[in-house]
Amino acid sequence: MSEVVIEVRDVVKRYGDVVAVAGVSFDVVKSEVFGLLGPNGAGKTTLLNVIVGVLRPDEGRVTIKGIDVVSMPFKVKKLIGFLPQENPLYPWLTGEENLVLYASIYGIPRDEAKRRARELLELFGLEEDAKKRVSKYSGGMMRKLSLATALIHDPEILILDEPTTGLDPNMRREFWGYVNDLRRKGKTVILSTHYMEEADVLSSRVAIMDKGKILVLDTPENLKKSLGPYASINIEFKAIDGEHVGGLLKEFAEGGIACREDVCRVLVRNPDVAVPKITSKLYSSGVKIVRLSVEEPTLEDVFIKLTGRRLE
Amino acid sequence: MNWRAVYALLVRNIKRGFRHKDELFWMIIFPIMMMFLVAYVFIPPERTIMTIDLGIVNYDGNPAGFNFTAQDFMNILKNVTIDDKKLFKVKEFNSTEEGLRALKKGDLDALLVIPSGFTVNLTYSKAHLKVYILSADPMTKQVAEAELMGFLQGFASRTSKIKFQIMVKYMMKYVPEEYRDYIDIFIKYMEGIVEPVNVTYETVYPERMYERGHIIGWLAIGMIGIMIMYSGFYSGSLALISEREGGTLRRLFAAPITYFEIYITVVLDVLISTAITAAIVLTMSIFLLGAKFTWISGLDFAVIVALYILAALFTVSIGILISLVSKSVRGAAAIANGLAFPLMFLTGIWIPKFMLPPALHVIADYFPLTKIIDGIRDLVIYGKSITEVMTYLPIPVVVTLVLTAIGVLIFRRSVEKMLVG
Repeated sequence: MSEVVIEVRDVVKRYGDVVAVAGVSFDVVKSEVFGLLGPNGAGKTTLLNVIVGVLRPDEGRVTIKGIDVVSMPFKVKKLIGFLPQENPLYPWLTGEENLVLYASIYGIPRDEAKRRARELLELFGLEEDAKKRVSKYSGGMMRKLSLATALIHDPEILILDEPTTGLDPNMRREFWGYVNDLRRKGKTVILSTHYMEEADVLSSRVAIMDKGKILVLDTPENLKKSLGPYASINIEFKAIDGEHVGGLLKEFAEGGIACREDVCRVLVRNPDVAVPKITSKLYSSGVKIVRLSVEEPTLEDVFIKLTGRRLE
Repeated sequence: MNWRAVYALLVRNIKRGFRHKDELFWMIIFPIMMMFLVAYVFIPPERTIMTIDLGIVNYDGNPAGFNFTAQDFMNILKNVTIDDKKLFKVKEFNSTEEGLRALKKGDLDALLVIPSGFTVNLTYSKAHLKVYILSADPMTKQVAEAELMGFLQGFASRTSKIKFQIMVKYMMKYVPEEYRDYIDIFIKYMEGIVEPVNVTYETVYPERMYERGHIIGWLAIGMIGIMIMYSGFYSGSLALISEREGGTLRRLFAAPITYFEIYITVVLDVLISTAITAAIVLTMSIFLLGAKFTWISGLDFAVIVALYILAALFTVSIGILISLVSKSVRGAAAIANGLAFPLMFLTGIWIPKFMLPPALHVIADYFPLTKIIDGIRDLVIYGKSITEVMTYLPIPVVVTLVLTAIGVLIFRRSVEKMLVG
């Protein structure tokens, strides 16, 4: 049986009357990439802040390698590398100086800090820009440097909060490569994202969160299988009220439907039967279809089935 | 205490100071500029004589047959000097109207009208002069009035003495020998009428601050005090807000560091950045502006360091209070500046208290930072003993320590609030 590294039990976190995390429990085992998938405002960031010890839970507890986060925060913080949503960089410092600064905060002596900084800059292909001020870096370079700051003290556990938000698709794929490398090196990773493809590709298990709760937790394959014999029909149409189109297509949505602005996603059992009916209905209602595709179910379809809403 | 982290954060802040031109300006250029300004504009190295643009209308001309005429009087005005500098730049006019037009246009500071008969009256009876002073700016008016009055009073006094001597010379020719003793009493009495009071002026300087160098030293300490105030207000108010806006706050607190270590970094940052300013201000004041300080003992130095730390704690605490009412870096900076700027002039730290209106003395009397800076001045400028300084320090020290305790608590609460928000 795999060693449990992170144990989250019945965690509740409130901001005044708003319940951001509403009794969440799960375990993360060693060398696992654990995905937290959910839309913005689902409570992912709050939950991660509780896990890294930045916020205290109102109820429940979190232990890292058996150590309680609230009672022994410093011990836990040394085990964790944290990449927040924003780039935690000081623009007037160089890339190397930023890394040495974070290393020093973790108590690493200066010479050792410099050595590790050089290694990480090389790993992320930033060695030529090491002496440049961060204010001169591109968005992708800053994100890579931010990930390097999370790794500077060689932590066993990495908490990555929306690591690829705002990056272009190429840079996003490069980032996925780094996360896979970390998993191969035996690091345990918790990754929050609202990109279903990212959770699907990187995670060994995914917890889908909404409104502060975990709706479902399993491997991406099992989650998709849980939909049953459904296929997904993705329909893009000329900008009309998405909800209106959703109403027209409701009768065909055997597994669920979710629409926003100019796109709807409909879960059906038999797409060969459903597609002609859908096109005919939309045509007769005056809706102009821009694109229609039939796809294998994704994690987003799981989310749609559970909440009736899309992820992004 | 994670001193390695505190040191790393301090290095980060110092690098920011040296890599941002605006911070570099406030840390180095501004105090240098202010010191030069006060040293050469407000406390010039030499006595400055202002030359008055004086218009003269001479209706009396240069009558023949007199030893001293209106023209001679004009020539004196043209040539009179103090410290080799001419007192008046004279321009002649043909009529009073013409002269007044020039005065009203601002081409002159004053106009002097010599009426017809001036020479005859000066010789045989009582002469008259008319003076017009331009009231454009109060300072020039005061100086022109004082210089002209001084000159004319001196001229009148000298003239009356000469006239009296001439009178005595003629009188003695006709007084018989046996009445000379009685006449001497009469002459002495008459001398008293000509010059009733002979005043001698002598300037007395205080025991210590009697030279320009000491005044510059006083101002140098004031400049350092002002820099501590600005630095403390800014650092205290911006410390957490700038981390939050920069996106580094959560990352910092996900690392093994406490709010207290960040607070200590803020105080040390103020001490180090103002120490850099202080070193520059003191070096420049001593070697370029001739500032003079009293030689102090090791114990005095220890007290000065303690006062310096107290000043930083006090101003950082005020900065933290400012952060309570500001939600952004821009807002906090505006409030810090809006508070520090008037205090620069009202606390007696930079502008001496005696120059303030009496109603505003209360700020200088009760502002703890003023007392702390006064303590440093009393030791290094006035050469007072630690015992003398300690008589007025207990209250400012207690106030500072209470404010520091409140500041630390607010700082902690702000960290918690910002991490949640």
